[in-house]
Amino acid sequence: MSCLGERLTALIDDELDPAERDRVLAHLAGCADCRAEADELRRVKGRLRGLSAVPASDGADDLPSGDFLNRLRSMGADPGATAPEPPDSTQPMRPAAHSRPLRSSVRPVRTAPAARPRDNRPGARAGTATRHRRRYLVVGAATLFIGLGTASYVAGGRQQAPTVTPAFDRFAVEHALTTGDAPVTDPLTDPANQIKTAPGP
Amino acid sequence: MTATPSTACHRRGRRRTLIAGGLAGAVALAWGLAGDPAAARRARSDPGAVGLLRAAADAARRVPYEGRRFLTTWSRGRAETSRVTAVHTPGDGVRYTSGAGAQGYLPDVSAGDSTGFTARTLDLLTRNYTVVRKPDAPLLGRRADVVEARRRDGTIAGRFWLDAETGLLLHRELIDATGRPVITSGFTEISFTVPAQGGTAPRPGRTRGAAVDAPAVTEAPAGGPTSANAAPNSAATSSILEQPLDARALAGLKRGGWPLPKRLPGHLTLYDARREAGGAVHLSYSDGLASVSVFVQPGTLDTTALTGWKKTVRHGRAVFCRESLRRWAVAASGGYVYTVLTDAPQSTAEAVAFDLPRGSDPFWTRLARGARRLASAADPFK
Repeated sequence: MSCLGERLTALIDDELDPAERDRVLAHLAGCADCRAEADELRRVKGRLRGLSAVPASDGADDLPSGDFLNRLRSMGADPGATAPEPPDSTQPMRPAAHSRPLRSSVRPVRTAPAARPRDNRPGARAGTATRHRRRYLVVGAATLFIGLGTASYVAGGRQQAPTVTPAFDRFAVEHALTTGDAPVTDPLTDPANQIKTAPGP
Repeated sequence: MTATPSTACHRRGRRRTLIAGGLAGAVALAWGLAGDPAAARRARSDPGAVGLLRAAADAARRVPYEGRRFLTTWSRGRAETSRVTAVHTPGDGVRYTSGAGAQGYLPDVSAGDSTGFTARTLDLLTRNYTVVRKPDAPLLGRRADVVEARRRDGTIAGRFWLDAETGLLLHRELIDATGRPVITSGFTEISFTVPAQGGTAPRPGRTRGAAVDAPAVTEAPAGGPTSANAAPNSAATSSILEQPLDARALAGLKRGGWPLPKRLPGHLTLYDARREAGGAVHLSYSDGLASVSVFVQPGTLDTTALTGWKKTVRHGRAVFCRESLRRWAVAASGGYVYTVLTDAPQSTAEAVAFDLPRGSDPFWTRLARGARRLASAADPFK
């Protein structure tokens, strides 16, 4: 931090009265730290100006554009009031008034800053809220779908199968027919056929 | 200096290529040597012996005969035998009459099956065993060609006696690994005379395979200790309709959740599948010698009909077993009831019953059923 504090910034912005300006310049002549900081501030300001689409011609460029100011004002406006829509806005924006109550009813506001762009632009905020609303709908529908599906899968687990008794005699005949044995019944179901012989080898 | 990593990279890449190539070669070599031993065994089988077995199926359709047949199965030193009289009229079929008067009919259209040899089972036989010819031997006063099926270790697994004159299969013997017979079947007496026409008329109403008519046994199960096993839908009175299932129909059933495995333990391979209209699916498995039938039907098992059966529980699955002339094993799981039936030893039936897959509903079927149940539960107008 320089010895001059905010006066240094004011000097760079050319906002000091002549007497104050002389005092500050006198200080800068003797203080290398403040001089270095003033140089740094000038460089930063120059770079910012270089970023602007319109080349800087005079001090008027240092002021924010009317469009930007309008948008800034709209941030602080009453929720009921309709924010002025910039005619030349490249990004379609919806009034924040429409989205704010909706969002607060769906989800606590505290989660919003995390998803909001860092530059706090109101247009992006409104768009994010709309996206959020859609996302909630999608997530809700998916949850319902998956929940119902899982419940159906679990509920459909046990098959209501009839109780059956294998038709042993018929199976014996079918087996004999495919294996080439005489298709008559097995002693299991037809003991009359059964002939017990002596123990074999 | 910059060339060094690049050279090292190249060298590493070449080494990797060499290793990969070497591995691929080794795998190819291993596959060539041991990957398809069936092909090697097939090559060792005597084509003449296989031809004799193939001719036996043809002879069973062509040769008229009349004789007495028997089937004996052995279990733990105990044998059980079933005897029938068989009369074959070419162009008609084989009529069987048991000692108790039960009748069976196998038409000529499928008489190839009466030897147990079909193109598919012969293929399995040569795949799993080595088939060789042995010196001729007399049987029933006739000269017979003898064919043996041997296991990989050289032990005899099956022996066949085929009439040298007609080619008919006279006697068959399956032998276990310890050298003891487990199944023997064949003729005890035979005469090659044309039987008189107009004998017992075939009973209508039984279809087997494609438009094949064969009546089931005509005798109701007699009383006694096994009468409890008589099913309510007895074959004695109802007609049976088994339609062959092709690969497409089988695939459709599988998609519907039916557990229909292609292979079972012990080199048993599915070679035939049939289904009664809307009823049990009959799967026939064979390793070329022993046959196993598995009947799969949807439902839960009524265990009250299984009194007197030996119950064995393994890995949470209960299998009910019973030994008689044939070996039975009944199991239920996943909404399906399996009935395993084989002439092979009981251990085979049990192993098959324990190994059968659990039936499972396809995802969407289960989901739809659950949704219906939920909707019905939530229905306020119910």
